[in-house]
Amino acid sequence: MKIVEENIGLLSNDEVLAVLKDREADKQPVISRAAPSEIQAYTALLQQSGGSFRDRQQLQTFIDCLKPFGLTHWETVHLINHRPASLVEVDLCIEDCETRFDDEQIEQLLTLVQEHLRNQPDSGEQAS
Amino acid sequence: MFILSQLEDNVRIAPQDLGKPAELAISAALEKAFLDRVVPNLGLVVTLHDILSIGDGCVYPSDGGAHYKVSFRVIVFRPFSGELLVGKVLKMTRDGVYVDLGFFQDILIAPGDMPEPSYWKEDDKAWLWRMEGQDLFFEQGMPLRVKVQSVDFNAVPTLSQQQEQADGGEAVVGSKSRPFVPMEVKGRADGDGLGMVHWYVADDEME
Repeated sequence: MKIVEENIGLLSNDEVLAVLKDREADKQPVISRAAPSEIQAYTALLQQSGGSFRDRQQLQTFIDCLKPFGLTHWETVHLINHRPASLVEVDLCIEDCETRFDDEQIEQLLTLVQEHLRNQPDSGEQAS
Repeated sequence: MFILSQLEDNVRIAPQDLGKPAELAISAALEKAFLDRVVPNLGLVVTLHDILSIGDGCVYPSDGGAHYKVSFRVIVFRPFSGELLVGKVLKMTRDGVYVDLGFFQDILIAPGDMPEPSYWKEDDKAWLWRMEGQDLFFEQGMPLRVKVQSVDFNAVPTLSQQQEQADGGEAVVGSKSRPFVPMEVKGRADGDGLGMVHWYVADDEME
């Protein structure tokens, strides 16, 4: 066995969930053609991402909105995976957040996350 | 958390599967070999992404199966240093707190990487963080945030190493009391926002 290319690219949880769904990991273990470990991974990731995941289109609009901030690739993936709702959480996702961005920009970031990643059709309550 | 990797491997299709279309038989063989396994120095293979190319089938003397050289991509779980992970507390021992991600359970927060000052409470079998006079407990089964410090890959122990351990009186790697861990993630919970999630929710509500 040979590793041809170790890291072609980072994947966000949503993209992995989409691939697992293609492999029928969301169906019952008896009828699904996915392995039990894939079903386990699907359930665990789905729980972490709050019950639903976004498709490539929605993620792309979010990534385009983030362009003016100049974030690295893995910081964008962090934001998509964790959907921070407060300053403390944004600080965990992005390195040196306080020195690189001022308060207004961080507010903008939080609003963008809220708009693109948190507004799900079935969750009516907003995080205050 | 996840990366896409391209691998190349020789896959043997058993004679009874030669009637199936090549892609199906090869996918089945790849899934059996790679899913939920750790590739050394790469990570835990979660799922097969796609098959890029299948070489010509070769047949070897006295073997009824056909051998194909397959190039394919897999989704691998490989956290990078400094990455934020959210998981549940699996169990707590004197060695630290074990974090469970659902599909991966070998993340350990050593006592040195817990928020200062932290104490091990023997009666509750739990770790706690004493902050400003308040005792904040790590609770089993509850979500927590941890930052990755390092990812280590351990080589499969050889028989001679296991013999040495048995002779030396320590638990043998690969036995029930000391299971072999192919991929170990060391995490830290000493930082702003890290640790149990409910510690920070309570703070916001109080303010």
